[in-house]
Amino acid sequence: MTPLLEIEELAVTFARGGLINRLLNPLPLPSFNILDGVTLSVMPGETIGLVGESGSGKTTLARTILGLVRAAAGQIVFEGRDVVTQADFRAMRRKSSMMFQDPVASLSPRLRIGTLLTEPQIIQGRPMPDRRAAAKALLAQVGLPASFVDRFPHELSGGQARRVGVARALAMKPNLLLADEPTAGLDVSVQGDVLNLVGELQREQGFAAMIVTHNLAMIRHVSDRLAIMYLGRLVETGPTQEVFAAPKHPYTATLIRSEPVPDPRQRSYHLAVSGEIPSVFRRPSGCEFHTRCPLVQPRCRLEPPAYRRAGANRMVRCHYPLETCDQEKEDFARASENKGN
Amino acid sequence: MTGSLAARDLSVRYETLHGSVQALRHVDIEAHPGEVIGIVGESGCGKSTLVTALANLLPANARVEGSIVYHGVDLVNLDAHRRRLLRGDEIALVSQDPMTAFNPVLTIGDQLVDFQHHRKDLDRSQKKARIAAMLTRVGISDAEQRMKSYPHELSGGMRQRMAIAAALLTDPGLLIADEPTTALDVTMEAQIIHLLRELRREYNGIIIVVSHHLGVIAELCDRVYVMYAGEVVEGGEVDAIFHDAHHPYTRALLACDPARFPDRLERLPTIPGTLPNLTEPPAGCIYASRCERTLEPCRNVVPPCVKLSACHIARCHGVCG
Ligand SMILES: Nc1ncnc2c1ncn2[C@@H]1O[C@H](COP(=O)(O)OP(=O)(O)O)[C@@H](O)[C@H]1O
Ligand SMILES: [Mg+2]
Repeated sequence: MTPLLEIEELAVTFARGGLINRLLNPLPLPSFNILDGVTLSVMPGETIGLVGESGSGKTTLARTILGLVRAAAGQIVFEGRDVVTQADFRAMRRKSSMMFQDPVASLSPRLRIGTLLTEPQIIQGRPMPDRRAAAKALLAQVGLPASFVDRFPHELSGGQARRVGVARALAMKPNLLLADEPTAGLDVSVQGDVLNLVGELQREQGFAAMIVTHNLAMIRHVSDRLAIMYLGRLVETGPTQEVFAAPKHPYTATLIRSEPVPDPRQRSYHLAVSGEIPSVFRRPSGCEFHTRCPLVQPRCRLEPPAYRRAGANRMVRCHYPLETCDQEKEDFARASENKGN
Repeated sequence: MTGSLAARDLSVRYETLHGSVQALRHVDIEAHPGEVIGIVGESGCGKSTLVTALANLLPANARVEGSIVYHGVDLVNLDAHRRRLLRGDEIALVSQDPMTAFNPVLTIGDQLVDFQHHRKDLDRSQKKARIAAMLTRVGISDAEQRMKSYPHELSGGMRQRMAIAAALLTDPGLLIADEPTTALDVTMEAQIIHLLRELRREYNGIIIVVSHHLGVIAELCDRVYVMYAGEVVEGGEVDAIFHDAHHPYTRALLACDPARFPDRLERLPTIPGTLPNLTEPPAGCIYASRCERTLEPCRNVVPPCVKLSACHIARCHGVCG
C-alpha cells in the first residue's frame, strides 16, 4: 500500500530577531531549527499519535504539513505526488483538514454555527444549493440537534464546541485529519465522547488521522502508531501497544513513567526525569536529550545519534536504545531514581 | 482541635444577570494539620468556588451561607479587617495560572520580599536570605539569578514552583493548590507532585489539592472529597475512594479515566447526559438525571449523608451504611 502522506527529512528554521531586525541588520542572523530531520509516513486510514512536551515542535509539524509554515528543507509527498508549490499545498488542503485545540476560539464569534460549518466548502468553491440543509446534515452526523444551526459558538458547552469542530473538519470529506490537542481542557467523560465520535466517523469514512497531544493516557487508546518528538526531532516511532509495552528511547520511557497513576496503591515515589525541556535557541550538543537522560554516556554529549531502525516497524534516535529485557528496565529505574533525587 | 478547618453547611451563590448560580450547596468538609486533602470533580462542579471561599477570596457577586471554622474562628462572620489579617498569614492559595500571583512589571525577588510584609521582625537582607532558602527548597537551583527575573521570563513549571515558594513564605497554616499541574506537561506535573510530597514532610499545616485529574489526587492525597454540580457526593480515605467507591458518580468518574486501562479500548467510557442547570438545581438527588440506578425517592427527596465507615461518607439513596 502506498502511504497517504510521506515526510522526508523535514526542517523548519526561524531567524531570531524577527523581520525588522533582519532588515536593519546587514549581517545574517543566526537561525534556529524548530524542526529537524523529521521523517514520517502515514498510511491511509491509520491514526498516528504525535506526542511530546510543549515546545517540542508538534504543532509546527502539523502546520508545516498543511503548508501553513514554510519548510526550510525536506520533502512532503501526499497521495504519491510531491507537494512543493503553494498550488500543491492548496490542492492538498482540499483533502486534509485541521481541527484546532480550542474550536470556539478558532471560530469567528459573530457567525452562526450553520455558516461556520459550511464556510470551508464555500471558500473551496464547492457547489452547495442549500447551505442550511447541508449544515443540518453535518450536525446530525456529529450527534447535535438541527436547531444548533442558528446558535453562536459561545452558546455551546466545551463538548458541543468540539463536536462542531469535528463536523467542520470533516465537512470536506478529507483523507487526512490533523487534530491539535483535540481534547485539551475537556473532562474525561467528555473527552471520551469526542474521541469515540472521531473513531466512529473514521471507521465510516476511512480517513487517516494525526493526533497531536501530550496526553499519553488518551493517545494509548485511540492511536495505531506513535511518534515521539523532542526538541523538533522524532526520537521514536512504532506501534502504540509496542511502544507502551517496551519503549526504546529513554525519553519515551520517562514520559510513560511520569504519568500519574489513578491508584493510590501504585504510587511512584521517584522522579523519572528532572529538569525542563531546553529551548531550541540553546540546543544541547550531541544527543539533545543528554541533559536530562538518566542513562547518559560520554558519547551522548558529543555525537548526535542517527535515526535508525530498531526492530520491525520501530525507529529510534538513541546510541543506547533500551532493550526489553528486565535487567535494562531495572537499570533504568535505578538510574532515574538517582538522578531524580 | 487547633489548626483544624471545618466548613459546615456551606453554600455559595453567584448573583448574575441570568439569575442566581447556586455554585455550592450545603457542603461539609474538614481537614486537620498534617493532612493532604483532595477535592476532585469535573469542571464547573464548584471546586474553585469551595477553595476560594475557604481562602476568603470570593468575587463581589458571591453570597456565602454557613460556616467556615478555622483555628476556632468563624471566617464567614469575621469583620473585614481581621479577615484580611488572617488571609495574609494563615491561608495561601496557589492558583492554576501562577502568572496571576505575580505583578508582571516587578522582579520576582522584589515581590517575594513584599510577600513577607507580615514579618516585621526581619529586615530586607534577612528576607532575601529567607527567599533564597525557600527557592532552593522548591527545587530552584540558581536562586540568586532567578530573583532578578520577571514573571514572563520563567517557564510554566518554574512559575508554579515560584508560586508555591511565594505561598510558603507567608508561613500559612493552610496551603491550597487549585489545579497546580493542569497547565503543565507530564514531566513537569510529576516534578510538582514530587515537590508537594517533599514539602509535606516538613510542613505541619493542612494542604488542600484541587484537581480534575484522578491521577494527581491518587498520588498526593490522604483523604478525598468528590464533588458533583456544587455538592460533595462522597468523601473518604484515598484508598476507599479509589477501591471502594459507593456513589454512582464516583464510580462513573473512575470508570471514565483512560489511564485506568492499560489495554486499548475500542470505545472510551463516558457519562451520558449533562450537568444540571445551577440556577435551578433539581429537587432530590443532584445526580439523578445521569445516574444508572435511580430509585423511587431520587428525583424528589434530597439523599441522606450515609456514613460507611469512620471517615467514608456518600450522599445517595442507594447506599446503606
Ligand atoms: N464569578 C462568577 N460569577 C458567576 N458564576 C460563577 C462565577 N465563578 C464561577 N461561577 C459558576 O459557578 C460554578 C462552579 O464553578 P467553579 O467553582 O469554577 O468550578 P470548578 O473549579 O470545579 O471548575 C460554575 O457553574 C461556574 O460557571
Ligand atoms: Mg476550577
